[in-house]
Amino acid sequence: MNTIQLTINAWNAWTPGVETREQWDEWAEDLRTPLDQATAPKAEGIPPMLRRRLSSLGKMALAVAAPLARANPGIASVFCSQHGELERTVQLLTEVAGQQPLSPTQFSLSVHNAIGGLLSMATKDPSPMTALACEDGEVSAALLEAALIAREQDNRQALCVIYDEPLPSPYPRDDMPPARPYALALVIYVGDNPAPGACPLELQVLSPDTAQGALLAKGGDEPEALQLVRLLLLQKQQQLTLASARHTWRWCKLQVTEP
Amino acid sequence: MNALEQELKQLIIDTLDLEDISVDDIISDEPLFVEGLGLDSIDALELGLALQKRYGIKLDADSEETKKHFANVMSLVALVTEHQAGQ
Repeated sequence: MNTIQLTINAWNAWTPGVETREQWDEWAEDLRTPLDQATAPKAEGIPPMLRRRLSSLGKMALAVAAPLARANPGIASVFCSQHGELERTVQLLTEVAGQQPLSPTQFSLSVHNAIGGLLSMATKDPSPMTALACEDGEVSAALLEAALIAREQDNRQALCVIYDEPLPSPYPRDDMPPARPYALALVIYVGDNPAPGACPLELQVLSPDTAQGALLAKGGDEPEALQLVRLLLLQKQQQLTLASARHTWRWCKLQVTEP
Repeated sequence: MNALEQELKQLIIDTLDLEDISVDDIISDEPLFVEGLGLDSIDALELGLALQKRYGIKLDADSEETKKHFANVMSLVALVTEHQAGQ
């Protein structure tokens, strides 16, 4: 079986109504339900002249990512989102359809790596950055990418940011996830000396037969990123199976051996 | 502050999403770009587009003349006034 191991050294997450670690603990225990919508977080760590360029998507992505980027200067990063700044693209296409001139700002910020670019401008950190778009299976694809990038770094670390929001009008919202916005940022480490208390995970690629079963058993519309948060928070949960049309991945907690 | 001055400052704020800045925060004879208000090259393009949409003024993005017009709010006032007089 093909496996890869990595450690989650730190994480931050945001979804409407669930922001603080205490709120995430309550959520993981099913004592708190996210709101359907809420104003995006303010992204405090970003200077105002850059913050004004952030959409609601960018604000929540950088609200979770910026503190981790600042705490780990020089960290390489992976930004992963299925739809990205689709709202800006829709606005641009509407202007094209109406034969109106395009907004240069919207155009420059509609590209998939714009949010990561704004973070690197805010932190003045020119570290390598990758932007991924995944149809589904985004958590495993993003973490796998981040793990491989981390292996190439001197500090064996990478920042992985996963975020999305519901499709903007005129797309039918019910046709495609997510039902509500979310953002998750993780500092991952690949090596022999993880931070004390960090959560070591192993990624397994399941066989097609097992995958088929997992796909059939897949229930609910919770974003994969939030399913991963639950795995990290719940001590009793030992593994998470994420099935998509093409692959099925399983994340297993590894036992920490005390020295 | 005359009406056009006020109008242009509001146009700058609205066009460039200057959320935390009010009309009174923009000093009419201070630089708009890099120093002063601290706008950048994308803002210059966006502002050029806004002037075109609102007043029908077409500017060449690369010309020295355009740079002079964009120096501060007073030079923009002069540009719009001159354009309106010529119509």
